[in-house]
Amino acid sequence: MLNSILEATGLDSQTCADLLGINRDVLVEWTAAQRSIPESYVALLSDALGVDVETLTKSVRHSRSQRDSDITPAIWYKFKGENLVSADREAVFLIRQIGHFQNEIEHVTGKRSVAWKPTFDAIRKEIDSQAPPGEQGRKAARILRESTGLAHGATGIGEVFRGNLRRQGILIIESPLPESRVEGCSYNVGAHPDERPCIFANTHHTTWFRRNAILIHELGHAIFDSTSAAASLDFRGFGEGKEVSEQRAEAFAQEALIPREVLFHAVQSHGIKWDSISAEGLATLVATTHVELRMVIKAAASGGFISDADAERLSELNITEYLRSLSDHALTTTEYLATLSEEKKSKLLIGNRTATNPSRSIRLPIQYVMTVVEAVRDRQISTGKAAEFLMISKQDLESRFGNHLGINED
Amino acid sequence: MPNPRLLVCDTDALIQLFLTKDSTRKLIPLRVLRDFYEIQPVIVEEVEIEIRSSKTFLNQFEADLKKSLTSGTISLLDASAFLKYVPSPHARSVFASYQGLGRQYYRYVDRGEAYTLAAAVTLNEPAMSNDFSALEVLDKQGFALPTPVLRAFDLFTFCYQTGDLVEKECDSARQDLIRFDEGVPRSFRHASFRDGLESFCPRLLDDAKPTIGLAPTPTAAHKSQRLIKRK
Repeated sequence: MLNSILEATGLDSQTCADLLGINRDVLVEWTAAQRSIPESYVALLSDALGVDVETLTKSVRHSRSQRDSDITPAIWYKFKGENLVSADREAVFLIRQIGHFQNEIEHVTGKRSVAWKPTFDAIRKEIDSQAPPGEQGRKAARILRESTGLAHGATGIGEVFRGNLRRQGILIIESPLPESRVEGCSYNVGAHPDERPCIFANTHHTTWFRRNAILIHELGHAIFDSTSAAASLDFRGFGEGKEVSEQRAEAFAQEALIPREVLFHAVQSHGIKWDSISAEGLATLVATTHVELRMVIKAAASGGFISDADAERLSELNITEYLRSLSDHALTTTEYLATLSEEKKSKLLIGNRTATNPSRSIRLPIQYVMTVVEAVRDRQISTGKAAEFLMISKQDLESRFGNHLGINED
Repeated sequence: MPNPRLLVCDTDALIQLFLTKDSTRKLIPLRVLRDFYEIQPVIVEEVEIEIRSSKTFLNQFEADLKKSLTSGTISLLDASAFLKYVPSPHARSVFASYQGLGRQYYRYVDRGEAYTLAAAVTLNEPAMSNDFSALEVLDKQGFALPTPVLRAFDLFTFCYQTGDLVEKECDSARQDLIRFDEGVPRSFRHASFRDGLESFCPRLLDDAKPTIGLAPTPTAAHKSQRLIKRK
């Protein structure tokens, strides 16, 4: 059965084995049913592939009598579509493993949060699915902002929403995927009933301001579309989609990140006049509201602050240099690192969040890494278990976090 | 007390034995246990997979493992092998109980460690593991641990006591491990094998030979000393 499922993922056995951190021959023995899959690998495989344990351990003879559509999880159909490459499927396979590990570490530490469920349910209950998609998205965003405290202060939420959403149990992954055309996507990870939403942003050639929009757009998909679609995918430069789900997610992102009152407050507090706004003024608004220029202008137009003609003219302005002087988030990684103290670098785990055991590296969320490290320090898990959760070797664990682990040999 | 039938070995400790095989005459510690003390070194499936999948040292251990399994120096402790050590009417339930215990341990420690310790506890046999962090965590959680849990170094000191390895070979193994940046007990980190032995309490000794090392003091059962007899 495993063989059929792996074929359905579109990943070859060498890649799958590399992503699981096991020898290819071992995987081949499992797929050829030369030996059974040890129980300790079944749960991980089940979560990574999206198939239940019973299906995974069914005999080869049984699998021959089933069609692919009976056993292949829908997400793999989605990720074998046009414009998608092996790197996309590899990332999904890895991220689903992270989802499995996150469930495991939360079980051990007792810090499981499912706050996203009532939030999502409340939004879905309040929204009229017959209403125009833009209105659905905006209303959902207002409920989200109010119910999660993101509406406080009428300021940009780019620096706080990740922590806020993660505390609710949502898995947020931001990692470079250079070969991919995918800019963002969302799907559930973890086996039922422990599934959770995961939102992903490809950090390759995207700015922090752009990623804020991507992540919240994907959150919109997770709220509205995860029950009907196995995954939502958005390719580079998305934002003007004509489909209902895209219009709704885009309206959701704009209203969640830069509602009228936030834009109004930013303009007022910086003494900006719309009729004479300069590139510097626009850069100030981007830096304050934490969203890219395109979204600021769109919000200003839809909020009635500027005309469509003004919007077109303003979108031509180059704000790059002004923005770099106003916000650290506009700096390149190298420039940004140069501004940080050693203490701050250590707190942000700079360079220490990348999983290196799998053949494709992936950057893990800070909170997840810290939870694992703290669990070792508190003697809740062993160093070997921590290395497994972080998908690195024990040696790397020691060299990256040795000072935080408090391990006393002998 | 009769000799144990098995020594259930974990990945890290076994890799240390593979790394030092040139200094210890091709895994003589494991062969001595098997041939002269009738203690069969075994590994669980998870350890077999970990060793075959190891990326350190260019995965030279896959070949070492294959050779050891073929020669019988090490045996694989899978479901069918359980039949050899448990009366057949109970073998299936004992294996299920081992898997259940492994599943519980695996929440807190890594895969190989979890199932190695679970197998040793279920079969009431000693284990070999260098992972003090795992033992500490499981102990804190109140889980049973094998008695005792040997370190790779306990096999060197044991073979030194029995005369199967000489001091030079043991010190060479110690230097090998340090050179490979492997964990070595504190007593031997900055001292020769002979000097380090004075402050090292071996967990495995032949009860017919003069004792070596530091005398045991009251300690946790998994750190206790086991005496065995040459057949």
